[in-house]
Amino acid sequence: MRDNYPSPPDSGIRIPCDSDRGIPRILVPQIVVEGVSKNYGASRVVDNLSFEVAGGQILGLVGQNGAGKTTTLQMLAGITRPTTGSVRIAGHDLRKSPINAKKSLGYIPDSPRLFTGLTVWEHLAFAAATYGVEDFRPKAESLLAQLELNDKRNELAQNLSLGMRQKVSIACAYLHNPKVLLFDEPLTGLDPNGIRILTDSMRRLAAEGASIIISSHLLKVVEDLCTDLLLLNNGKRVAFGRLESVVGGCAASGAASGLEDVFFAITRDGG
Amino acid sequence: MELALFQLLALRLRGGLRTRLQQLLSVRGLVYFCISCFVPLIIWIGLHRLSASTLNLSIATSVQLETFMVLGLVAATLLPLLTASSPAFHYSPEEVQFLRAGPFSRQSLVLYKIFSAASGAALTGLILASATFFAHGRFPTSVFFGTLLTLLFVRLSSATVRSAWRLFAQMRLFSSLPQVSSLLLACTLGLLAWLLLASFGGSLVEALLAFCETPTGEFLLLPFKAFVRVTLADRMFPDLILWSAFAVAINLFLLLLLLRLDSVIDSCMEDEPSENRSSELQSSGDLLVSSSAAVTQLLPYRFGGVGPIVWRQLVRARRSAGTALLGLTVLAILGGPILVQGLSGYPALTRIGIAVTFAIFVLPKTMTFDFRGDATSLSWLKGLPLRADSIALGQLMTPVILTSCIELLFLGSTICLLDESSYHKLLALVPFVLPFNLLLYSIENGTFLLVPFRVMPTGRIDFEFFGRSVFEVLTKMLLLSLMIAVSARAGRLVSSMANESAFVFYATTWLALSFAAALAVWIVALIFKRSEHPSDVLPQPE
Repeated sequence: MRDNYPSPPDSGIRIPCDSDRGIPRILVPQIVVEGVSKNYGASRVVDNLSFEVAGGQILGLVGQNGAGKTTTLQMLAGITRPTTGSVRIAGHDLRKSPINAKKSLGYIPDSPRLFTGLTVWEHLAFAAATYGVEDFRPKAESLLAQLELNDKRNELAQNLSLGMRQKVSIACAYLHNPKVLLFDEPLTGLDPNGIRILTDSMRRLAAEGASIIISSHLLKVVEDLCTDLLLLNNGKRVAFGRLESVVGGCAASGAASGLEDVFFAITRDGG
Repeated sequence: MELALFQLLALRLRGGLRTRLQQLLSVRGLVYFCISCFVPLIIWIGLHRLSASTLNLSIATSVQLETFMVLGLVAATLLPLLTASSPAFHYSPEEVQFLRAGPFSRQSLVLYKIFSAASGAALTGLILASATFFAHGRFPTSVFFGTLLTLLFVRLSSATVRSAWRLFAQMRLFSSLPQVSSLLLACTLGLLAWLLLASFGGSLVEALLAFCETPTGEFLLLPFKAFVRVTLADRMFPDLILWSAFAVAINLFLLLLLLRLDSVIDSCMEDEPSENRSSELQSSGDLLVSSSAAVTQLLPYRFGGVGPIVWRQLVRARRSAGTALLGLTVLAILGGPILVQGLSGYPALTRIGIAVTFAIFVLPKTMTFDFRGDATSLSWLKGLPLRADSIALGQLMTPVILTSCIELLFLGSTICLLDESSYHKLLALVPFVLPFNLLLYSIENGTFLLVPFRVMPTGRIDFEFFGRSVFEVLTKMLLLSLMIAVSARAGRLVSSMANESAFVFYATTWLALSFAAALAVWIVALIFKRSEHPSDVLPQPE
């Protein structure tokens, strides 16, 4: 099913591969989460969460509203501090060495917010300066072309639609070739063409060795796109592993036949 | 601080200027620009001429100006103590997305926020320097540096206070009572006021001014005086250079202290396994937050659809502005003693002016639990299965009730202190409070619905915002004066037919004012019904 998609234009992002099959050389875990919990006041939003994502993997983060998906992603992005536990991004401890960890990171939040008064191109220029991307222009040009933003480069952020803002946010996150990409509901506001461009680019980046986490309520998209699955319920990990094995395991026990059935079966049982 | 953050500051500054220029290209922007430039100028020239010739008032001397500026700066420095539990720096969502998730150290982000404040202060300084140069022929360099250093000092001191508070919270100091700093501050201020009055006598202001001239006062106020002396310097050397050096040293000290506090907070968070204590303290700053069960008891009363709308706004007021409402209540209770005794040396007109300014300008800007606070929910309100007049009345009731309560408290605290010959006049005002506030908020909301606009400026030189604010003030004053004059005229007319009876005058005026208020609510409902403002086209704050 995944092969049905046409190849996207060149993103300009290349990580050496072992062979033409696109198996990335980097197979060590790029994201290591160990015993992470997060409390807000008396309530525990994320509870003792542990998982790893290796280069080339696309992890689908799935759960009901309030399951702790966004909080988990914000902790991985270094925006929120975990109450307990540790996070390692590309070999760097996020608490002890946050700058090095964040240099390897690209984060796209659920509602993209851009700086009012700055144009699309100025956002890319700032992102390039932030991550020290030398001669960013060819890469930025390529990303603008891929994301169909060429004619919007001089448009002010406040004049863009939600989908366009999302694309600018994605372009900024892609610019420095991050080893780890975190997407929080990335398909919100995108048109069908935009969705296809984004999902194709995710596959390409994963094939080139990036570790990707995507949080989404669109289970069909997760099923099509992801290699691995992490299912959260009330902040706790209730299922984790290769997508096929999680779905297959449930199917074997007669509980489900697809991701949607797995989701309902597990969340109904409360994990 | 990283180069990228400097680049962002430059880009944002350029973006802000570009947005302002683009605003000028539209008719609305041009009109607001003209209003924001010319109307204050005309008012200023008019007042200047009036005070110089007609009113025969003396212009404040440099010494008086300096004393009041120093006291104002002390107040601005103490004010953050009331909101000490707020974060030292607020990060907008775009800053969270690009900066907090970006490869920047905590120290760099603090410096970025300080530089950002400095660039804003520099812009304000530029505007003030130009204005005072053209108006008074003052030394513009000193006004520029004075404004820049003073605004920076206020920002740094408030951030330092809030960081220190956060550190105390993490060290579990004051853990049993989060509002302890506010209470301590209130008690200290009360004690100081009592000590001043006991030592120097006279009114509070006179006692305060007398204290400022004592050696202790001079010493304590010296850091604040430095900033004022920079602003008022009329020579480059020694005044401007020496005082500037002192002011810069104070700001540098505060900056270093802030960075130190921030790093301690950062390391504390590593040792501290949980942020619970801090989160609780951060989130429980609202004294008036109550259980939802207590609030829902109000729900059954529907009153033709007005009830649920009022209930919603009341809940919002209690949850979002509980501390502010408590502060205003305390201020209203203290208002009487302050005006009657604290400012006894000032003419009655000045004191009435202060009270009227508070009622007409300060309170309505605080009580936005109406259409103004629902700028992004107007479409949702229009979709409700309720009559437009029910929605309008429901939306207006909460701020009207809250404002009336605060004003009645103020009137009560003032009446208690007046002699028998004066308090009757003030007592007669009590029935007018409700219709007057209904009229006032109807005008506020009617103007907002006709020309919806952001409640806060998007930057230092948001002339669209200032132009609209001036337009709003003029409209409000004109309509209020007209309605009060018409009501009083009606009262006078009827009372003249009843042997000049004071009761008839007041009763008729009250009826006329109430009718005007009801008419204003109906007009607001009509405007709301006919307005079409999709939420996504409303100007969003930066």
